[in-house]
Amino acid sequence: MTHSITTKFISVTLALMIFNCITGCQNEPQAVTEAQPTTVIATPPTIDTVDEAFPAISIQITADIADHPNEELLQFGVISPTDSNSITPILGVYTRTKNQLTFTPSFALLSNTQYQALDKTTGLTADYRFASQASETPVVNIEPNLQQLPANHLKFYLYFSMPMQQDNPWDHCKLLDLTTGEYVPRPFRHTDLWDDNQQRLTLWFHPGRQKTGVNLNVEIGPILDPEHRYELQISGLWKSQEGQSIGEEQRYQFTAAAADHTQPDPDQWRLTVPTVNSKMPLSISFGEPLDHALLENNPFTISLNSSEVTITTNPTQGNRKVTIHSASPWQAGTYTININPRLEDLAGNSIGRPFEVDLQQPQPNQSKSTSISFVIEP
Amino acid sequence: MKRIPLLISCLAVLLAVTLYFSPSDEANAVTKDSLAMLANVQQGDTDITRIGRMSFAPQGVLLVADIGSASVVAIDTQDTGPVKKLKERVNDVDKKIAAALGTDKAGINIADMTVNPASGKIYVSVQRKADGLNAIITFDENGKLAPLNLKKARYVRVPLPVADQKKIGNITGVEFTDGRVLAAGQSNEEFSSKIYSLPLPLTHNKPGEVYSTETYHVAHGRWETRAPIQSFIPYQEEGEDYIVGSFACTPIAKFKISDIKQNATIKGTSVVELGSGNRPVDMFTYKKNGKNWLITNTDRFHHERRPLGPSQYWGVRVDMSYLQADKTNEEAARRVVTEKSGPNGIEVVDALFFAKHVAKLNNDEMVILRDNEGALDLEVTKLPE
Repeated sequence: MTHSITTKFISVTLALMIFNCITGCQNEPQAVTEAQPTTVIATPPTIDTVDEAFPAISIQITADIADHPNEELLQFGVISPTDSNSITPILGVYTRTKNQLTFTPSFALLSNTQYQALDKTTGLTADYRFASQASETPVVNIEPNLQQLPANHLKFYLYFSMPMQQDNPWDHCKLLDLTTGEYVPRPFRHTDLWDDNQQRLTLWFHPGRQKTGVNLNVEIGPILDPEHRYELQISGLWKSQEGQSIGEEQRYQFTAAAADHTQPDPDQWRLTVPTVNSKMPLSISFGEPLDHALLENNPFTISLNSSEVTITTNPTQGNRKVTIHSASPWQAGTYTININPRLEDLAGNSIGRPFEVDLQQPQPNQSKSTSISFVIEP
Repeated sequence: MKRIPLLISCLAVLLAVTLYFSPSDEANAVTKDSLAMLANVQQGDTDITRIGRMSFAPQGVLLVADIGSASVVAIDTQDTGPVKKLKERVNDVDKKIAAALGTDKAGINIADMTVNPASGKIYVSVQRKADGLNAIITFDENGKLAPLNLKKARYVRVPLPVADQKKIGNITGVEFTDGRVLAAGQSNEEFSSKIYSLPLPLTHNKPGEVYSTETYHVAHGRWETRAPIQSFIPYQEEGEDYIVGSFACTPIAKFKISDIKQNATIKGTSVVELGSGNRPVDMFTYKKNGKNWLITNTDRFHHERRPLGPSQYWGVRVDMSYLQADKTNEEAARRVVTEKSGPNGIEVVDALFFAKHVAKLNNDEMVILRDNEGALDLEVTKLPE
């Protein structure tokens, strides 16, 4: 309803304007004929940089060129790095007033890039560039970071100190077989999996080659050969989103051990139990390294008499062990640790099921225990 | 000189009359079909953090996967037709998009391409590498490119719910089907998929339901492992809803989703195997001469080692009757990898060589984003008879 009233108000106002315009034009014809020509001094395009990534570029237009298409009057674009006289126009929006044409980019301009505005009616130009603050060099950490990995190892986590340029991240990664001296062809799964902060990449070995019996595994073999030594190489040219490259190539060496087809078994884990009323950590040793990201994602809950204990969990010793701190001192009693059945080892064998199942074998319940208990004596 | 004020006057009269008799926003709202698709519509910046796959729902609603925030953004593009399909091939699309974004073609990453069947307008989702800027560029019938304004859009954002304490790390597809929108996601920690069902109307900030998939990849009738969906389409068979998903290496499997409940686990059934060394990209179905066909294009990552044709990008069509088979995994039909066709109803499509992305325009034509010796071209091509 409000809009309707507003619309009608505007239309009535316009009607009054029309009347005024018509009568005004009739009453003051001399005002038009008496107008004196003015001398226009050509000036370069002006650039309003209130928002430096979205500057407003304007030129003056005169009546004789007012019917020209916008693109024929004003152009704004990137100066070619190889030809300073060549501009590649960018997308933007043109707006006009009676004697001014303004261009605003559709997308934020890039810092440290040379742009130019060209008034095509005068040939005058104005250059534009804005600098971003110097950014820090990105640092990468690799998980797991172990001397030995199973031959059917599945994935690495690359942790960066800042958001990285994300496209085709596998192009920045290579795997060198140090034993043969040859690079392993196409070892990574081409699916870019970043975390929320865009600072952790999950870099998968190609599962089709790591899975027993799957066609690629049969045709060209697994990625890792047991007892071979390998080097994962992360390109130093990889840039952060701020445009800063890693610098030096990052290298991580490991040896492939025998393939691991055994599920983690909580019944075999070794617990070190804290003393009563202490804030000592509970520690759980798995007997093998487990998946780093899954361990960091609260895989355990602990309860005492059905009441959940507030805990923090920290993986240590290359993800072979966790220490669990309680927010308040441990009380005496029998505690239950509930375990996320999706917690898995480096080869994708989880508490709930092995990574691969042989359908020709009997299929017993594959899940290991998803809860274990411990006692704190009074 | 008197003509100019007279012209202005006439225009103003026309504007005034138009405004006076134009319906109000409320009246527009009642007739706007898109309201049946969207609820609690927002106006402004879509805040897409990492753009990905796209597809069109009816009424000009563009479904966009926002991988960075694990959500689906549905944009009311107001692009409802009539159909004006691309007249001529557009060369160097990647170069043109990059130039529009103020960079070169090495400076962009094209995430997806889709076409609005109602208008023929082509939409390309793209990320500028240098700063992660997300954009959607459209191509009209004349091949003229324009930005879709993501800063001032009518949209809703539907978060994909967290399951098993995990957010997903990639959204491999988002598709409209009767009564809902489906999305498929991959975990970035486990080798597994989730399927999300988003009920209509898509409502801002109202999350959908999540189903876990136990998607087995059976090879040689012996080993099964979990595998994530790379691409999918909704599919109906005898009144039942299914998802037909494609997986790396390249089984096509179907999942019945009609009767599952929130947080349920769906077990897929492999119905066709297309051969190893391929990563599926897009899928769609079309009907021709009374027959239903499934089209899928793939990226053959072992092209250099064992080429299938002139390009690593190739595609196939599959007689949809294969999907109706009750045969389970081990007995799935297998494409004869040494031939262009076979078994009967599974055929390599010549027009899909070099096709990086494909999208269905209608039952006769598809839009292809084609690799042309390193450049990308857009074209409308006939579907096979």
